[in-house]
Amino acid sequence: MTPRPPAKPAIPSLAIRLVRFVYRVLARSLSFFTGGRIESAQGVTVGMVWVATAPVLAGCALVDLIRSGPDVGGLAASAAIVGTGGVMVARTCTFPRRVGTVQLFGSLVFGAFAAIFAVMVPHLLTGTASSFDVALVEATAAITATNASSIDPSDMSFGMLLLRAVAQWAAGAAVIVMVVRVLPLLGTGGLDTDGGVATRAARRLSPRVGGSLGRLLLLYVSLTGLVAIGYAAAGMPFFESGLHALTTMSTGGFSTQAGSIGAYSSAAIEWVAIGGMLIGGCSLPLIFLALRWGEPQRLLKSLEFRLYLVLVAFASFSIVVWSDSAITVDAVRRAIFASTSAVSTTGFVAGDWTTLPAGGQMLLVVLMVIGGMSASVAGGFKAVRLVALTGYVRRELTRSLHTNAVQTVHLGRSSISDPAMSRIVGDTVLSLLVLAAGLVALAATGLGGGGVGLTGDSLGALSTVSFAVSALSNVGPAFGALGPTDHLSALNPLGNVVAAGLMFVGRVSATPALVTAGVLLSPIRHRVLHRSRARTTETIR
Amino acid sequence: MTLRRIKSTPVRVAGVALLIVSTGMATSAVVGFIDGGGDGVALLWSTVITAVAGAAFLFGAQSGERSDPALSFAAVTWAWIAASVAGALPFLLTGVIPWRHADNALFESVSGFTCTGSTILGDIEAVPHGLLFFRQMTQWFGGMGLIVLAVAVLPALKVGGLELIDKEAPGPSTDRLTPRIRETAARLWQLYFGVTVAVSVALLLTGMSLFDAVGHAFAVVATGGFSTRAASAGAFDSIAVELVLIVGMIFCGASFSLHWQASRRGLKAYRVSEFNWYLWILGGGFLLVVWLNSSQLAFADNLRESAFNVVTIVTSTGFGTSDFTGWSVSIQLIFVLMMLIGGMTGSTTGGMKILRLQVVWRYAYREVIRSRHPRAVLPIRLGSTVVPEQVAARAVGFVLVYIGLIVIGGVVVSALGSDPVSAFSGAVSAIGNDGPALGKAGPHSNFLSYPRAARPVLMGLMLAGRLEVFPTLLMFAASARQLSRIRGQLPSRVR
Repeated sequence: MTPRPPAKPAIPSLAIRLVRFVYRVLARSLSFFTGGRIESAQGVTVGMVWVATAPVLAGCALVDLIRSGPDVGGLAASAAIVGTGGVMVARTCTFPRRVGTVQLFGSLVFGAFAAIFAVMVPHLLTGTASSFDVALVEATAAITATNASSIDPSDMSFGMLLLRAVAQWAAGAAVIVMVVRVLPLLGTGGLDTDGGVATRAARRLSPRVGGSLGRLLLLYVSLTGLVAIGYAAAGMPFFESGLHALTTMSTGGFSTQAGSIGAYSSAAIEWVAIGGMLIGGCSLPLIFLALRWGEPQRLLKSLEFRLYLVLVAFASFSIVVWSDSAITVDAVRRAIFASTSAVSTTGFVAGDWTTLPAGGQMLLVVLMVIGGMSASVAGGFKAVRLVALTGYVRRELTRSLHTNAVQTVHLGRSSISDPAMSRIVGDTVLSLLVLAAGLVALAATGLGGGGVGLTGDSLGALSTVSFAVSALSNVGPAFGALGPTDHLSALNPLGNVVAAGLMFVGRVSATPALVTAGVLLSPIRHRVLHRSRARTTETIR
Repeated sequence: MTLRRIKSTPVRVAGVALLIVSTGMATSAVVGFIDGGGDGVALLWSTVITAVAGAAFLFGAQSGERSDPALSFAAVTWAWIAASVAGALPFLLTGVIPWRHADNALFESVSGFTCTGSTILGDIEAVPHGLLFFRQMTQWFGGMGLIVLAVAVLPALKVGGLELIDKEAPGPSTDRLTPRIRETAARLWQLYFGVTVAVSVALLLTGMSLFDAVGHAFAVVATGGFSTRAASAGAFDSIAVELVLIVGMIFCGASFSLHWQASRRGLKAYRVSEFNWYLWILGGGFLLVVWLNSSQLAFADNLRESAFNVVTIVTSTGFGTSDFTGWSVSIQLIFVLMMLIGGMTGSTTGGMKILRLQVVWRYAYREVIRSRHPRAVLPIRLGSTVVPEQVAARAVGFVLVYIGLIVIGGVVVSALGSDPVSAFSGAVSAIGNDGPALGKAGPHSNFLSYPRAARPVLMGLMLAGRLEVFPTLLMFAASARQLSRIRGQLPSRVR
């Protein structure tokens, strides 16, 4: 093997030391807070999330004060509430010595719940959200990085806007933490909550404590800064570039304008957004490795990255070709924008999505389902799983002809083991079930006065299905009555709750959600099962 | 010059299929002459053409000796295609569909033989009775072929999955119809014929004319969905008729081999988990739809319409009585889900089939359990039988391909100019062989609302769905092999 050339120190040592310092502070505070007696990973997570959110809320209150916005009191009060709650919970819990898969899933789910709650409180206290369900869905959209909202951004104070953008950005950071820390812990024992299969890049970045995590977070921060500079250079006002950079990099999609990026009517801004979204949907370990070794061609070597680009290209091309209007540069740019927004699951909107050709709209929905690359902050199904499933199908087709063929499923140059393949298939099936149930539930909420589905015409079916898919993939905008500019205003309270549920399961991924639900419901399950079967069975019924 | 017979099983099987279709045409010709609608001669001509072609195929080819699953796939697919092409002839020759719309005739024929029941005919009652009778017969033949396919041929090729629970199903064998397969087929055809007669008699007793009764019996037993009336089964506006149809559909949506076993071993043969699920889906779906409809329909109407529609959708029959495109979206989505699920394996219904979905569900659930107990050894069980891993993988592959085809089909059809809802629901309905779709192709309209270029796509999906996907996907690979083999058999100067 030829020895590798020595790594160029791509990251200045000062920055590394800073990150290590912050990490040590956090670790110390962790041990300070968690001195309690209840051994619960979930409790610790909840507490730490709230403790971490409190300063953010306080910061937003401060910013609002500087800008003399109306929400200072509300934000400050939320900071106090959440902070106190967090400290209380964290102090009663401590990290268990052995963390099983179920506990990890549980902490994931409960951590997300806690974050949603922490964002709900300011929404309610500042009066931004008019009722509980609106606050719930707004908070969920913020935490799951979905661009679905029923509140006009111009009605919100700057503090709230900042909070929502930071919430989306922090959600992205949380995904990175999950990818680096949780992925290897789950390893062969459980389901990878992100992507299902670690690509070569992610596997190369085997985590040493604090090392890769710090580096990846630093990369995330610097890329956000880069995008912010890009926006400012393209002509966006200073603070707004910052906010948009936060929501672009995290593939969240919230904007300070009601018309999203399209409201700026600036080609330059749209191009920056396209670039930012592409990066946001890209696998962070891959970018890191490419930068570290100074080899941008690494990006192109990745099968998943190539698929990612091909999807965007194919969709943009099809949209342009299938549309009836003339082919202008604007139209091409808008098509690329829409495709990138869909596949990276960001959800920015530029141009009128309702004028897209029907086939183009459906392609966008398909792109939403496919989602970004694995080990990225984007949502969706992840492109790598599509590759894996295609390989699986091809193998089965071959096996119908040659019954005893032994074939492995390939992903680029590496192969996917059977247990990993089973996991992917299992998660796919469960996600489909969740989608089906969510669809019916969402449509059923339209009954009884107002909202989607009452008239039962084809627009109703279209908006329901596209919105359910959009929510599950954490994109946001859909078609029909829940179109890109109306978002959630058409939903009634129950619909809001169902939408929040879909977004949540989409982010947390089906298996952890279902396992946690199963654990929570296990007393009921025990009673049901043991009453109907006299003999105990270990078999799956 | 000695006439060489080419060794090609697909050609031979196609010949058999064509001969069978020609007998149907002959019967319809008789009906046409009796009825006097002016189509008798045209039907006679189609009989002759089809019979000649069938004889040519049958006697010009002999069965290949090699046992090759690919061959069987190709045989099955080509037989269905040949029958569909032949079935278009009566429509064209009688002038009901002009020659410049020959693709419409093909659509109607494919829709019949795949027991789908989507129609492009506008005014059904203006069509002469002989042709209408033939249209109903295409479904009946499709159903017959299907029974054999599902219960005998596919398990031998390890595609259907029925070999799991049906102990009567033959094991692996060659591509020729072995005595075992023939035996099974003969038994099932007896049952099929008997049920057809029973349903016809029942319908006669409710007051239908002989023509209508037999025609609808054909549609019910094959779970097709064509009707001899424009308003479909709703034209009779009779609860008795609808009850008979409901019972018939439920019966025919269940596995025919299960019925055969029940006739020999008694009712305890019905204690199969798939049958349980089937009944649960019917019952649960019915209650759900009634509940969701309760705000829009009066109670009695609600029960009647919900029951009929749920049963007809679950069994993928598709009689278009009520226009459910006007119902709540949640009900429409439930119907789409039911179209996806389908009925029992070993029946004439479409969809992914309950057995397969049971296997896939258990496969997925096993992964959830494995996340807690990573080293557990968890076989997938159906009742008391263990499902081998390969079979489960095959079922999973099928589900993935099925969904993939729907997505691709939907995107293509909407790109060709249809609106998204009609496009995707049309794709689901086509591959599930149901009949009605949502949007513009609802139960009270027809499939002419799809752009002309989109209808071949739907035809392809119908065929793929009927033949359980893998044969159609593999037939090109199989046929290419076959062609190279035939080329090897011809004398050297012709090659």
